Amino acid sequence: MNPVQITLMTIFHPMDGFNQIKANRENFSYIPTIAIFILCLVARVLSLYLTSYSVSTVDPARINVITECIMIAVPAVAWCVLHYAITTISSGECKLREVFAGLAYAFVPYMLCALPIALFSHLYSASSAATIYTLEGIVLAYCVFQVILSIKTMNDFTMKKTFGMIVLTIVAIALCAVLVMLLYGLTGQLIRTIYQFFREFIMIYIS
Amino acid sequence: MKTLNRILSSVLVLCVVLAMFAGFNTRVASAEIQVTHDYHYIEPGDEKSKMAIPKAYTVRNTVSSFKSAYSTSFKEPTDMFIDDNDNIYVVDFGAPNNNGRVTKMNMWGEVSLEIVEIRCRECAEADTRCTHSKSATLNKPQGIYVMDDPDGNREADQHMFIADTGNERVVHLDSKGYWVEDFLKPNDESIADYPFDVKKVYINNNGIMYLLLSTDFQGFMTLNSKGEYITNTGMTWTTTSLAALFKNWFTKDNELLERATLVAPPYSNFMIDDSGWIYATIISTEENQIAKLNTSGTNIYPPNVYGRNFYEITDMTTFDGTYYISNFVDITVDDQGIIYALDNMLGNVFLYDQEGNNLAYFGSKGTYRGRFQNPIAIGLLSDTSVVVLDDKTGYVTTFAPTDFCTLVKEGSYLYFEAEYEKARAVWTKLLELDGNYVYAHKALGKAYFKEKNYDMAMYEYKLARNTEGYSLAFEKKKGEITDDYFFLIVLIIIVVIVGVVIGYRAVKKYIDKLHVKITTWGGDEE
Repeated sequence: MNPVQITLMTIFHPMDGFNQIKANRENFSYIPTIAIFILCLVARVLSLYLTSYSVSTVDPARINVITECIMIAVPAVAWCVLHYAITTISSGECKLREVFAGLAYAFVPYMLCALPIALFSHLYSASSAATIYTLEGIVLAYCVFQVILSIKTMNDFTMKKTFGMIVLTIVAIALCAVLVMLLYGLTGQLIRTIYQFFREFIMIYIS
Repeated sequence: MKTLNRILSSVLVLCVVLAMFAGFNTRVASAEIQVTHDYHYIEPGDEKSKMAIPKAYTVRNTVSSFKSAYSTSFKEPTDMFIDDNDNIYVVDFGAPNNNGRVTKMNMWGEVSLEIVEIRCRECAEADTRCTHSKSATLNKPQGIYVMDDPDGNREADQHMFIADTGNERVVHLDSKGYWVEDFLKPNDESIADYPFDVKKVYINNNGIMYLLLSTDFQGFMTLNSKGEYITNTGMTWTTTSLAALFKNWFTKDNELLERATLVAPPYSNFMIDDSGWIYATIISTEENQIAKLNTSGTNIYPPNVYGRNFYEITDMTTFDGTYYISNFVDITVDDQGIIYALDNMLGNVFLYDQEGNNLAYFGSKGTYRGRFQNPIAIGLLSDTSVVVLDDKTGYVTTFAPTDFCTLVKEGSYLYFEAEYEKARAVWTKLLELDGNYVYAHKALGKAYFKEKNYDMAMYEYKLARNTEGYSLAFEKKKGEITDDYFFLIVLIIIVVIVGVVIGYRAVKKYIDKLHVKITTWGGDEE
C-alpha cells in the first residue's frame, strides 16, 4: 500500500490503518511520515495567521513562527522517545520510528481540518466564536483518540494497559522537564562562575 | 603595552571632559528633565501593555515657600482643596507647636488667609479665650472641604469644614476663619463603639455630610446638616481565595480566632461631584481600586486592575525583586468626567475615563522639578491644570495640560456624550499627534459605525484592538452581504455540501474496497 492509501485508511478504518504501518515494516517509507509532521506544523501556523480577527486568541503580529514550531515539535519528540522507552521495557512491539509514525498518522485529521476551520471562522463574530473553538476541540479530541488507538493496535495492548502506558509517559515527560530545567539552571550558574573567575583573573593579573 | 595605556588614558580623560561639559549644559538649560513622552495602558486580550504617548502635562509652577507669620513652608501637609475661584486650601501639621494650620493661597503661592487659632467672631473681637469650641487649636487635621455659596461664587459666603482628626470633630469655619460650629460624635447607639477620628470630609449638593473615618472600615458615615447620624454607605467587600479557605480548614478554631480577622479594603480618599456621584479610592487591594458610588452606595465603576502593579527584578543573578502595588491616595474628577487618581507608590497621576480606560499617566518620584517625594493630594484648577501636593517636601506643583491632553479629554467627553460626529473632528486632529492612540481609533470606529460605513469601522476597531466593536460592525457587514447575494450564497452552500458528500462517498468506497482486500488476504504477517 502506498502512503496516501495508508493515510486514508487511518481515517476510515483506524485500527487496520495503523496495523499497515507495522505490516510491511521492512519497506515502509518514512518520508511521508515526516511530511505529515511538517504539514501539521504548517497547518498550525497558517491557522494562527488565517483565523478571523474577531475569533483569534492571539495577535498575528506577535506570533513567532519558530516558537510555535518548537512548542509542538519538542513535546512530540519527547513523547516519541519516552513512550518508546517505556513500551520497550513492558512488552511493546514498536520501534522508535514506528511510534513516531503512529503519532504523525494520528494527527492527520488535524492536518486536514485546521485550515478549513480557520477559513470557516471568517463567517463568525466574537459572540459566536464558541462554535469555532468547539470545532477545534472536537478535531483535537479525535486526534487524541487516534493516538490511543494507534498505541493499542500497534503494540497489541489491552485498553487498560494502553492508558497505563499513557499515564506513565506523561509522568516521564514531566520528570524530564524538571530535569532539563534543573540542568539549565545549574549550567547557567557554572558558566557564570567560570566567566567571573576569568574576569577576576584578568583583573588581578593582566590589567 | 605602553602605547595602549596611553591611548586608553587619553580616551578616559576625553570622556571625563565630555561628561563635565554635558553636566554643565544640563544645569544651565533647565531644572526640569525634559521627557518627550508619557504613557498609557491598553489591554489587548488579558495582558496589560504599555504604550508611549506624547507628553500630557508640563510643569507650570512650583510653590516651595510663601509668606507666613509661623512657618514659610508646609510641614507634613495632609490635604488640599481647590475652590471654584482657584484658591488652594492646604491643611498641614505646621508651626506653631505641631498643631494644625490651614493656609489659603493662590496658584502662585500668595497667601490670603492663615488659620491657626479657632475662635468665634465675638471672642476674636473681644480678644478673649474662646470657650465655645471644643478646642482652640487644630490637632492633626487630615481633611478639608470648602463649600461655595450655592447662589454665586462670592468668596464672602464660603464655608470651611476641617476634619480635625486629633480632636475627634469636624470644625465649621466661615470665610474669614471664625468658628461657627463643631460637629462632634453623633449620639447614636449604632456607632457608639467606634472612635470618631474623621479623616476626610465632603458635603454633597443636598447638604449631607460624608465622613471618612481613619479606623472605620464601614464605608462613609453620613450626617445631616444638624450633625445627626443618618447611616453608613458604600461598604467595600472582602475577597477570599481558595487557598485561604483550605488553610482555614486545617487550622484549629482557637487559632483562627487569634488570627487577624479578614477586613474589607478601606477607602483612602473620596470626592463628590456636582451631581452627587462619589468617587473614591481604595487601598491595600490589587484591583478595583477606584470606585464610583451612587447615593445608595453601589459601585458602578467597571471592575478592573487600576494603576500599575508590577514586579521589578533588582538583582539579575538571583532574580530577587520588589513587587509594586499601586497605592491611590487621592482622586478628583473634572467637568468632562475625566478621573484623576494619584498613586503614591510611584508618584503617578492616572487619567481614566468613565469606562475605566487609562487615557494617560504622568509624573514620577524624584528630586527634580515636577517630580514628587511622597505626593498626598491632588486638585484641579478651573483651567483643568492639575495641582499636586507633596507630603515630604511640602511643595505645591501645578501641571498644565498640553495640546495633546486637551484634545484627549475633549474627545473623550464628546464620545461619552454620544456626539460622535463632533468627536470625530477632535480625534482626527489627535491622530496627527499620535497615530497609535487606541481610544481615538475606537471613537472613529464608532463614528463610522453610526454612519453605516462598516468597512472603515472594522478597520478602525482593528487598530483600536477592540474585538467587541469589530464584531458588531462585522455582523452588520455580514447582514448586508447576505441581503444582497442571498441566492448565490445558498447555491454555494448547496454545491459545497453536495461536493463534500460525493467526494467523501467516493473515497470511502475506494478505501472500503482496499480494506476488504487487506483483511481477507491477510496483509499482516502474524
